Amino acid sequence: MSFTFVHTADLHLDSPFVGLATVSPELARLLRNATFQAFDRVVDLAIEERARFLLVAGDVYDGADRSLRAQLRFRDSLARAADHGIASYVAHGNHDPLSGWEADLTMPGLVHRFGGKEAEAVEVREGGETLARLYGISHAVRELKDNLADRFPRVASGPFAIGVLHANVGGNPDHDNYAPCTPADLLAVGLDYWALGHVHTRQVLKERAPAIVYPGNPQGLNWREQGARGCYLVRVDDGGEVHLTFAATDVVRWWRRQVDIRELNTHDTLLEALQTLREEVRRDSEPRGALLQIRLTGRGAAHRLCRREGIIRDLLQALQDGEADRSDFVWVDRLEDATRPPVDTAQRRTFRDFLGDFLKAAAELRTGPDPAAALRRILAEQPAFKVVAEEIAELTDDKLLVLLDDAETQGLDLLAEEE
Amino acid sequence: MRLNSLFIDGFGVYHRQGIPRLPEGLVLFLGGNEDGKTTLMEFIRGVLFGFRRKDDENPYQPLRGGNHGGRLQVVMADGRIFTIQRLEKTVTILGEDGAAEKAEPSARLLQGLDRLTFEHVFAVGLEELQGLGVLGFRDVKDRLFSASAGLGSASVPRALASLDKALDALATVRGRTQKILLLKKELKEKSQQLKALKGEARLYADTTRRRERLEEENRRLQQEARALRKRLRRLEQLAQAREPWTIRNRNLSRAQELEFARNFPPDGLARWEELGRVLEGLAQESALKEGEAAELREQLAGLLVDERVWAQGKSILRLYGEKEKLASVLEELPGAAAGVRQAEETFRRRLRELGPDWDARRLEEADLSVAVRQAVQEYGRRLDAALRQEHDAAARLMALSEAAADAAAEARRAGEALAALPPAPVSDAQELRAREEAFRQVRVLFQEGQVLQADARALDKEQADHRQRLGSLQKRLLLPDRFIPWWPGLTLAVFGLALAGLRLTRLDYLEAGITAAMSVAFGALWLLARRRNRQDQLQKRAELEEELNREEARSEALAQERQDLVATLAATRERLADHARRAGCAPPATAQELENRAAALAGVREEWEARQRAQDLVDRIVLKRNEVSRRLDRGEAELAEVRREAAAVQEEWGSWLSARGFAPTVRPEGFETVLTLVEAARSALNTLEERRLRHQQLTAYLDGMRRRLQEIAQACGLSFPAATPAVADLEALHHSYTAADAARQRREHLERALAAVEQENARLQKQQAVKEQARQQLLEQAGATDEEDFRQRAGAYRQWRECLQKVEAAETALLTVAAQADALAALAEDLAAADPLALEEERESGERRLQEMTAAMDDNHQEIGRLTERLKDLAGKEELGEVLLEERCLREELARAARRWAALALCRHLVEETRRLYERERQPPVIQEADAFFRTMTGGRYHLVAAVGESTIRLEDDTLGAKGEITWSAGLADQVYLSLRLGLAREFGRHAEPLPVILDDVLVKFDPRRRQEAARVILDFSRQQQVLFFSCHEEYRFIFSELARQFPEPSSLLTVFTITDGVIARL
Repeated sequence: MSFTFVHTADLHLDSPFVGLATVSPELARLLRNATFQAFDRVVDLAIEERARFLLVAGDVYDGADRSLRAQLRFRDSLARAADHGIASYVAHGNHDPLSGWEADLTMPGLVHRFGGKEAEAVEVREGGETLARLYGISHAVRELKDNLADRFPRVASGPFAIGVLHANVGGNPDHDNYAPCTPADLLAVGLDYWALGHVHTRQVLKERAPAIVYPGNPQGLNWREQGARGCYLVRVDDGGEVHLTFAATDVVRWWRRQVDIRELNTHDTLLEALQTLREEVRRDSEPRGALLQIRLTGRGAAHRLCRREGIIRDLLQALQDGEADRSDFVWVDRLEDATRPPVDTAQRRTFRDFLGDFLKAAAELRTGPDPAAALRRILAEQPAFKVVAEEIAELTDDKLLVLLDDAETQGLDLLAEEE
Repeated sequence: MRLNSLFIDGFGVYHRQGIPRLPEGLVLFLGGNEDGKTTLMEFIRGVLFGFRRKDDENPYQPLRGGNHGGRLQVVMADGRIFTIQRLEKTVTILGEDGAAEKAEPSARLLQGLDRLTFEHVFAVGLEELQGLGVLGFRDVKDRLFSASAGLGSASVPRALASLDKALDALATVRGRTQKILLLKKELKEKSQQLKALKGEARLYADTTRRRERLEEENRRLQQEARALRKRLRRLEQLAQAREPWTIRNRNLSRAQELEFARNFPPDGLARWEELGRVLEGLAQESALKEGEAAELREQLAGLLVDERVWAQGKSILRLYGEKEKLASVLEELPGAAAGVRQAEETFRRRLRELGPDWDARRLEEADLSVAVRQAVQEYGRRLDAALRQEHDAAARLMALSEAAADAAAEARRAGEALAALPPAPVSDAQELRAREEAFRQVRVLFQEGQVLQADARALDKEQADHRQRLGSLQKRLLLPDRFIPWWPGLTLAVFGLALAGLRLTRLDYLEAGITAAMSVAFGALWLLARRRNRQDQLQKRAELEEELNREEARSEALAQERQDLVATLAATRERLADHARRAGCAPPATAQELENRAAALAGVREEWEARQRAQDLVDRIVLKRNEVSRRLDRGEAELAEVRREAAAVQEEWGSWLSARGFAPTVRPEGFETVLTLVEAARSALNTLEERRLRHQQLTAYLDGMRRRLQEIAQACGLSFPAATPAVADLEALHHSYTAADAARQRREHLERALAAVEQENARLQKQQAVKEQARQQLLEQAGATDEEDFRQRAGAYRQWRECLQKVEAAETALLTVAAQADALAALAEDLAAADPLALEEERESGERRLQEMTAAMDDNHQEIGRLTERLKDLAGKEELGEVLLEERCLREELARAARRWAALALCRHLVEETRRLYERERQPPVIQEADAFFRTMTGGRYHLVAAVGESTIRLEDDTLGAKGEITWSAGLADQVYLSLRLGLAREFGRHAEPLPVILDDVLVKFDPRRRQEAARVILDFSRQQQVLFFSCHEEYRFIFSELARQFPEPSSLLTVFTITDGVIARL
C-alpha cells in the first residue's frame, strides 16, 4: 500500500539569527518568528499532502538557547498535525538531548519520542495492515561520540522500514562529529529509508535501497546557510520505491552577493547597481523576504567615493528604506567595502618611493615564512591589545590575511591622497 | 622619456593643433589666462594616463570640433620611439615599425606608473608653493618630507595621527567610553539578562498543575449546583402557574353562554363598511372619464397633415445627411483646380532642374536602388581612405625627415661631448673593478687593523690589571700565619685543676670534681679550636698559592697572545699596503683618510662611467641615425605606393560614372545630390496625378446631387432650379418634411388617448355592479335580515372571541411554565396538591446554598483566570528571543569592531616601518640630489640634511648650525620645496623611466634674485631631463634666454612656444 510522509530535522526553534549587525524592530519580530513559521509550513505541507506521519530527526531546539515559547510552539504544531490524524515521531539530537528535555510539558496524542538506550521499533498501521515500521533513537546526552547506527536491529524482511537518526554520517567537517558513523554502517542495518538529521544543508547520500537523506533545516539561520531551505515529502509507492520531493519552507532567505565597482564611477551609478542587485534578490526569493549581505569589490574610481565619510552608511540607508514594511522585503544587513584603489599594487610596489616601500612592506609580511604568526605578533605588541585579545584570538589565519589587505588599502588611501 | 611631438585633434579649446617637433631641454609655454595652458597640461597627462572625468562628465570636450583626444610621440630613455594615440576611450601605441597595440602607456611603457605618482614626482604646481606660505612650521615640515617621499599632499604624521585617532576611538588601555569597551559592557549585561530568563519552563509547569486542580474542584461544584437549580426551578414553576390556572377556568364558562354567535363571519362588519366606501368612489371616477373623452374628440377634428411630402421622408433625410459633405465639396472645388495647376508647374520645374533631356519616361527608368547608393558610398570611402593614407604617409615622412636631422645633430653633439671629456683615469672596466676590489680589501683590512689595535689596547689593559692582581696575591702570601695561641687553654686548665685541688682539700668533692672536669673540658675544646683554625689557614694559603700559579700561567699566555697580536697587526699592515698599492692609493692612516681615498676612487668611477655613458650614447645615436635613414627610405617608397593606389581608385570611379551617363567629374558626395533631384521630380509627378484624380471626384459628386434633388422636388410637387445645388435647397426641403411629420405624430397620439379613456370608463361601471352583489352575500352569511340586525350579531361575536383568547393565553402561560406539553398534566396535579407556604420555605433555603456554591466557583474561576493569564504571559513571552537576537547582533558588531581595530593597527605598523626604512635607505639619495640644486639656489649658503626619526628635512648653514623651520622665510621654504621635488624627480628617474617634468608657473612667488637662481637650476636640470614650463609671465622668456647663454649650445637648451586662445605657435 502506498503512503506519504514528511521528513524534517534541525528545526532549532527560537534560535536567534547569527551574523546580523542591525535590524529594524519590525524585521526583528519577523525574524524571531521565522523558525516557528518555517516549522508551521512543514506541518501545513503534511496536512495538505495528507501525509501519514511526520518525522523529526533531532535538534528541535538550540540547546542552551531553548525557550519556553519554543517548547510550547513545538507542542502546539504537533497537536495541529495530530488533529488531522498525522502522527509525529521525534528523535532528539545533540542540541536537545533527552537529558535536557523539559518533561513537564505534556505532548499531544499521536506524538512519539524515541528513547536513548536502544533503537525503538514502532509500527504505523492502517486498516489492520502495517504500513511501515519505524526505528529510532535519541541522543541521551549532548556530546555523544558513540556510533548509534550499531544500536539498530538488523532487519532482513518485513514491511517498509525507516530509521530516524541524528548523526554525522561520513564525518562531515562542517558539523560537530557527534554520533559518527559511515554509510556502510547504515547499509548494514537493512532499512529502506534513513531519515537523518544534523547536517543543515540538504543532501541525498543515496537515492534508493536504501534512501539516505538529510533534509537540511527548514529555515536558514546564518550567512553560511544560504539559498532555499525546507523538508522532504517522501512518497512510498506500492512496490516500496521511494520518491523524494523537496519543499521549500523558509520564511526568510539568506543571500551573499558581490558588486564589482570597476565600471561604476558615480554615487548614482553605484546606487543603481546596488538597487538592481536588491531587486534580483527579491525576484529570486519571491514571495518570501530576504537578508542580503553585499560586498563591494574590485578596483576603480568608486573606491575613493566609498571611503568617503558616511557614504557606505548612506547607501545602506537608501537600500533599507521602506523594506521593513514590505512582505517581500530584502533587508541589506551589511554593505562591506572591500574595494581597492585603482592602483596596480604589484607594479606600484616596484617603485622606489614611500608608497612603493609601504606596499613592499605589506607584501613581505604576506609572503613571509609564517605570515599569520607575524601578524599576531605585531598586534600583540599594541598597547590596547589586551582589550581585544579575545576577539583577535578567534580570527582564523585566512581572516588575518584579509585584514592585512584591508590595512594595505587603508594605508593607500591615507598616503595616496589626490591634490 | 621625453615628448618628441604632439597633435591635438579636439580637446577643450584646441582643435587640430600640434607641435611637430618638441626639443629636449627646457620647453617654455607662454600664454594668458584661459588661453589653454592648463588644458594643454591636462592633455599631456590625459594621453599618458587617461582622460579624467568628473561624475561622468568630460570637462574637456572639444569645443571647436574634432575627435576628442590626440597623440603624443615620445622617445624613451633607451632611444625607442612610440606614438601614443588616445581618441575618446581608445588608446593605441604605435611602434617605430608601424605595429599598433591597444594598451595603456602606463602599463606598456611606464612600468605601471599611474597619474597620481606622476603628479607627486614629475609635476609641480604654483598652488603647492602658495600652500607653503600659509602653513604653520609643523605643516611645512610634513610637507617637505612628503615632497621628498613622493607623497604629494599626503602626510605621514597626519596619516599616523589619523590612524591613532581611529584606534583610540575603538579601544585604549584605560578607556571606558571606547566603542569596543562599550560593546563588551553591553554584551555582559545581555548575558546576565539571558541567565535570568532561562527558568521560565519550570514555572510554567507548576502553574499548569495548580490550574488543573482548581478546574477539577469547579467541575464538582457545578454538578451539585445543577441539581439544586433543578429543584428551585420546579418550585418557581408552581408559583408562576397558579394565576393563569385560575383565569383559564373562569373564561371557559362565559364562552359557553355566547355560543349562538359562533357562525358570524369573523370580519363581517369591517367588510360591510369597506364595500360602502368603494361603491361611492367608483361612481365619482366614471363621471370624470366621460368629460375627458369629449375634449379629445374636439382636438382631433381640428388637425391637418401633408401626406405627399411625408411619403418622401426617407429620401429627404438621406439627402439632408449629406449636407456637410456638399458644403465641403463646394468649398474644396476651387482649391482643387488651383492645386492641379500648381502641381503641373512644380513637375515641369523639377524636370528643368535635372536637365533639358529629362522627361517622365526617363525619370521612371532612373535607378535609385540601395545597391547604387552603396556603390557610390563605397567609392567615397575608398577615395577618402586613399587620400588619408597619402596624407598620413606624407606626415610620417616629414616626421622621419626631422628625426633624421635630429639624429644627425644629436650624433654630432654627442661626439663633441665625448671629445670634451678628460682622458680616462683607467684603461678599462677590468682595471677599475680591480682597483675597487683592492680598495674593498683595503677597507676590510683597515677595519681589521683597527680591530686588532683595539684588541691590543684591550690586551695591554688586561695585562696591567693582571700584573696588579698578581702583586696583590704575592703580597697576601708573604703575610705570616696567625694561629690561635695554645697557652690560654692550658693555663685555664691548670688553673681549674688547681682550684679543684683546693676544693678537694676542703673535702668538697662534688665541686672539686665539677671544677676539674670543666677545666679539662675547656682545655680540650680550646685545643680542638686551635687545631681547626690552623687547618683553615693552611688550606687558604694552599689555595692562594694555587691561584698564584694560575695567574702566572695566564700572564704568560697574555704575553704570548700580545706577541701574536703584534705579529698579526704587522701582517695586516703589510697586506693593507699591498692592496692600497693595487688600488692606486697610499695606505690610509686614519678613518678620514680612508673615506677620502674612497671618495677619490668613487670620483674615478664616476669619470669612467661618464665617459662610458658618453661613449654608449654616441653608439646608440649612430645606430639610431642609421635606423632612421632606413625608415626614411621605407617611408618614401610607402608614399609613392599610396599615391599610385589613390590614382587607381579615382580612375575606377570615373569609369563607373561614365557607364551610367553621368559626368566623370562628379564626386561621390555630389552624386548624392543628383539622386536627391530625381527623387524630388518623381515625388512632384505623383503629387500631380493625385490632385487631378481628386478634382474629377468632386465634379462627379456635384452632378449626382443636382439630379437627386430634382427627382424629390418633382414627387412632392415642389419647384427646383436646374443650376448648381446649394446647401439652402437641402435646408428648405428638410423643413417641409419636418412640419408634415410633426402633424402626423400629433394625430396618432390623440387617437390613442381617446381609446384609452373610453376603455377605462367601461371597466369602472363593471366594478360597481360586482360590489353591490358582495353586500348582499354578507347579509345572507350572518343570517341577518337588514343592516341593524347585522350590527347586533357582530357585537355578540366579538365578546365570544375575547373569552376564547383569554383561555388560550392562560394555557400558553401554563405551557410556558411547564416547558413542554407532557409536563403540563404533572404541573396541574402539583398545583392541586401543593401547599404554597411549604414550597416558599424550601425555595429560600435552596437559594442560600446555591449562592454559597456560586461564590466558591467564582473565586476558583478568578484564580483560574489569573493562572491562565500568567501561563499566557509566559507562553507569549518573546523576551528571551529578543535578548538573544540583540546579543547576537552585539557579538557581530564587536567582532567587526575588533577586525577594524586589527586592520588599523596593522596599517599603523606598516606606515611606521616604512617611515623608518624610507628615512634610512631612500631619503638620503633624494636629499643628496636636492642638496646640489639647493646649494646652487642659495649660493652655497645652506645645505639640506635629512632629520632621521623626525620625518622632515633640516637646513644647516656653513657652520653646520641648524636653521629651524620657524625662522625660514616663505621664499626659503619654496626653494627647499622646489629643490626636493627636482631631487625626487631625478632620483626616481634613475630607477624607472624618467618622464618630462611639468612646472606650472612655480617661480611666481620668488623674489628677483631667487627667481634667477631657481631658473638657472631648472635650466641645468633640463639638460638631462626634459622640462615643460608653463607660465603667463612674458618676462620668463627673457630670464631663461639670458641664462641659457651661459650654458653650452643655448639654442638647443631652450625653446619657447606661445599659446593664444587655443593656438600654439613657436617663437
